[in-house]
Amino acid sequence: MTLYHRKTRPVPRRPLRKPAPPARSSQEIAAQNIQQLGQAQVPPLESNLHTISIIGQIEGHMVLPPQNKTTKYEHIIPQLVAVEQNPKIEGLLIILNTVGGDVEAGLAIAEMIDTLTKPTVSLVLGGGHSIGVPVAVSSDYSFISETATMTIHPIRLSGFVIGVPQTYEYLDKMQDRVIRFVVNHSDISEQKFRELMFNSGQLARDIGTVLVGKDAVEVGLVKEVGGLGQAVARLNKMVEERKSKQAGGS
Amino acid sequence: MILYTPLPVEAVLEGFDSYTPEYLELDYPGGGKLIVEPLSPTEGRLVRLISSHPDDYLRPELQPGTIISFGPQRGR
Repeated sequence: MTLYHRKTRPVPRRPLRKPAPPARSSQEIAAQNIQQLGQAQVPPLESNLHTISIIGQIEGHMVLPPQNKTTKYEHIIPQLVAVEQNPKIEGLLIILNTVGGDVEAGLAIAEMIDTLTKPTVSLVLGGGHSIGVPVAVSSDYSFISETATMTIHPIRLSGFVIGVPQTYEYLDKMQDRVIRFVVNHSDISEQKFRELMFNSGQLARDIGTVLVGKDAVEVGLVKEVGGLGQAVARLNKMVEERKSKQAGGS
Repeated sequence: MILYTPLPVEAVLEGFDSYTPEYLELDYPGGGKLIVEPLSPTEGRLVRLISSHPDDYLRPELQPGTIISFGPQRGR
């Protein structure tokens, strides 16, 4: 479909029909075809929206082995600085399909998105699990697609663990950071979120809850069920509102 | 490091000990540095961009994962 469209699109600044040149070798024709492909590039569209996709594992202080698809927080964070500072960007769309990841990196991204002054909309597609939850609720407005899921479960300790009560306290503290952020940035109550987090009987090998599409909206975690169209429309509306407010204020 | 993920930690960290890539540090015009994982003597995959200019992080050709061609490295 796309290819067909590209082939038929007239190439700008080039006569549409040239007199047929004398017989050429197939190599020459191939070379010309490639040149034409290069010319038929989609013109760089000026978009006032920037999109960041958070996929796979959110990678933190350690580089994960290559079987993981990762979102690199050290690239996302300065990119968010650029979004805030670049006058051409007026809104940010965050698309999530993540299986969680590093707590610190995830919370860092969430805090950056939260404190961005430009309008932000997040869309959870597929999955926004674990540390993906605070990232999803950090935006000004959040969407979840009908089939997307969010898993809410307690944080587990991995690696070197000392069997002392302090370990538990530390873990509890880490968990409270996540809970506090989510509760402060969505309509869910702390009690409800904790209840979902420590729910037993939903997950086969773990405790926690899986929220599918509208479940996440019903508990107040995400604002609305919707897809790409709704998310972009909402973001555009917010951009317009911000513009008119700025125009009125000055 | 605390991983907060529904995936089993073993699956995420599998091969963690044997994964020890060597990185190259390349300068790029504009003042920043590129951390590149070499794939061949003249090509590598961009792992990280180090720059103090935020707009560099928006440049499509500097996104992590991009294959970058460079001249043969001296002393290697």
